[in-house]
Amino acid sequence: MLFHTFTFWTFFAIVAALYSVLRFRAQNALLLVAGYIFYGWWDWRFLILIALSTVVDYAVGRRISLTDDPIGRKRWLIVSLVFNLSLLGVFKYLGFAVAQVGSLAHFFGYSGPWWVPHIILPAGISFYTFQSLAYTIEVYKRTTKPAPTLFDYAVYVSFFPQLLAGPIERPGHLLGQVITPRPRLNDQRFSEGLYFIIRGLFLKIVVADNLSLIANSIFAQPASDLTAWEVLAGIYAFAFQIYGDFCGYSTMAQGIARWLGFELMDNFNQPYFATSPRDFWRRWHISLSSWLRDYLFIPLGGNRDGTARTCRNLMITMLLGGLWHGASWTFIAWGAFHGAWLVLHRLWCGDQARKAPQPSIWLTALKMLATFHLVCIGWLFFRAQSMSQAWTMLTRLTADWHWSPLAAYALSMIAVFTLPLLLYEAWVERKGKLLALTDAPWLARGLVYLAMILALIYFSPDLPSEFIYFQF
Amino acid sequence: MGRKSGVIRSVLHGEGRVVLFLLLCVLLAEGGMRIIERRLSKDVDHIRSLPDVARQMREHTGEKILFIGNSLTRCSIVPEIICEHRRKSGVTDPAVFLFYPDATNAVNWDYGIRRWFLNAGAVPDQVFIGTGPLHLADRAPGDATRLGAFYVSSDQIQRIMREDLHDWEQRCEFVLARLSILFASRQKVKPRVFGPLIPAYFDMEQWANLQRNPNARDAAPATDTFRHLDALLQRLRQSNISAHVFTIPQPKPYDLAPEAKRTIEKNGAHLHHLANIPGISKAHFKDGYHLDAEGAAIFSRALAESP
Repeated sequence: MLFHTFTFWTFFAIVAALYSVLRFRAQNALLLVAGYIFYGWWDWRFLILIALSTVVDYAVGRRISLTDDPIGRKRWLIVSLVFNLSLLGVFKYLGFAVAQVGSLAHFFGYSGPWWVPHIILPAGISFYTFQSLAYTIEVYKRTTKPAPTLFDYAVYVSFFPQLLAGPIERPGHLLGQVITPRPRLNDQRFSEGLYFIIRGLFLKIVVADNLSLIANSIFAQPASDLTAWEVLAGIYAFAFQIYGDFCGYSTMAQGIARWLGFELMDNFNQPYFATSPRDFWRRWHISLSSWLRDYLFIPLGGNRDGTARTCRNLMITMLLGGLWHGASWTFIAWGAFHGAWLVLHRLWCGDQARKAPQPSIWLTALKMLATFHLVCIGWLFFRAQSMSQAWTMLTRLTADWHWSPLAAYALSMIAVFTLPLLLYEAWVERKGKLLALTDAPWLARGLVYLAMILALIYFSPDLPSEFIYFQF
Repeated sequence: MGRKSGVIRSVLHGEGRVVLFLLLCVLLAEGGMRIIERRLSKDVDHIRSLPDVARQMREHTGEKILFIGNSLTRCSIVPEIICEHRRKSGVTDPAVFLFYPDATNAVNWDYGIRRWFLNAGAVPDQVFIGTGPLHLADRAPGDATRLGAFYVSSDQIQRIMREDLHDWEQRCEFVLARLSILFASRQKVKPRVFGPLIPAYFDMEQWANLQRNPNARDAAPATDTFRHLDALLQRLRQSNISAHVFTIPQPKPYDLAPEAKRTIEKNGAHLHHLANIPGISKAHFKDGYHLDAEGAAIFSRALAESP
């Protein structure tokens, strides 16, 4: 059930209508049922998985909270870590790992058959296992109280607006809203929800889905046949496709949640206006980057033990961040690229960035442009079907800069779909507030919404496509 | 009264103003679209001209021949050649009528002929259905928007919901397209806007579509069904209309699926298999798919002379 389908909006209309007439506990019961219907709509068999994850982590959370023995607490935390990471391991990485072992065996002369399991990846597994893990870790750290009941915890895990692709919420934020009555829908919350939903739909349908046609067409060509301009167009198209797709989903999730009285965290903050890799990761997939920072980078030592250890911790965090996206060498390469870039940036700049005076507008623009293009090199690895395709496309960028009809078409389409978005985001960036438009005069807001709605009607592709992040 | 005015005040002062503004603008756009719809594309203009075609058919006293198909038929048939041949065969006052909207197949034709012709009392003497390798199959009732807006008559809504639109998405699309021209015409605006703006837009869009679906124009898989062809031919037989199906040349030679042939034969229709006629070469396909004027003349003569 995708957010940009009639099926979802019919489902949501029913849920919202019932929700508005129910009292708090009944609202939670409705959310739980809706969450399971929403998840089961995709494949009901995997409901067992999410239910199992819920029961195990709730029980572990209770166990941790009931004992003061540090060893016992740690033991229960390890149970949760092993359980959740095993779920991910089996469903996400087992096939890849067995295939790699097979390749190694063939390399060393083994010529017999090799069985590689093909396991269906349950939608959203990386998101809800990380959200669930955040709960047990926070309970272990005593920074959050355990969920009062299994029922409350189940609502927290299966909250349908962000179940399949985040934002990966923290218990302190979302669980708190689950166990206390939410405010009724008022004009401000309706206005913010409307803004999130229209913006999210625009990002997904107009920006991402249109650019996906270009990115997919270019990445489907033999890499050696592409000119440098065509490769560049393919990468740009993908850069905005993935942004529109993922930010669109997160933004719609925020809007839907807002209409139900919940607040979800901001997952994106104009990422292509970042001026450094560190800045980029403060703006891109914020819920994952902050999760990795809090539960991986800092426990590894963070930046407390000198430069060498900091660099090591950065590399490990980003490599695992890459692997979180999927079992493929291209994701690992993407993580390694970002890790190396963060390390180099740290070695080059140290903490100067924080102390430096405000740079000139031209220098800022130059930094943004450079950061965006380095991010794009990362996207090339992320999108490529293989390392050899990524490498060949990268090398094509160093030769054959001749203009072709495909390049002219693709770059023009990218400009048409992204320039209005970038102009709008530049305005938001200047205002320094994601919801700046909701403070604008109503007519200005109406005109912006109208432009977005007309674009949704007229510039939507023939068929809706799935969200990229569902596969993670 | 007091409560009512309170609601109105809250709508006009809160975000309701924005929603109301959007609703009004969308209504205005709907009205505007209804006015300019026929100028959006030749295809929409053709479809909207069908009531006139049906009226002319009703008023015609001589032989009435209706050609049904899509752009393949439009580019392959020269009505004058067909009429001239009919006159030479002794038919007095033959007239050719055309129903060939773009990107349609047996699903659209089955519904369309009922809506625009048979329900309107326009009954031809002969119907010629033009097809490529795939167009007789029950493919893509997928395009629920076009079915809703252009082809399905009110008396067929129950049938399409029962037989073709099993998916909630398609049903919603179908209903919206029936209600709103703004929604139904949405795919027509994009090319009008981007055509003059984006270099090589049309060629590249076609290329990108082929990249997405490289087998779209290849032979039909064995799993294809032909329910709509069957229903269409049955309906023609019930109305005592002589039915013909003719295959149109393509750059690659092809044959119809055996099931399609059985359906044609079962319903007593004539099959004119002209996909591989002599005289048509690859040079006659102006865009690699449709026949050029010379190819159309050769083909029309072959069809007219076909027994």
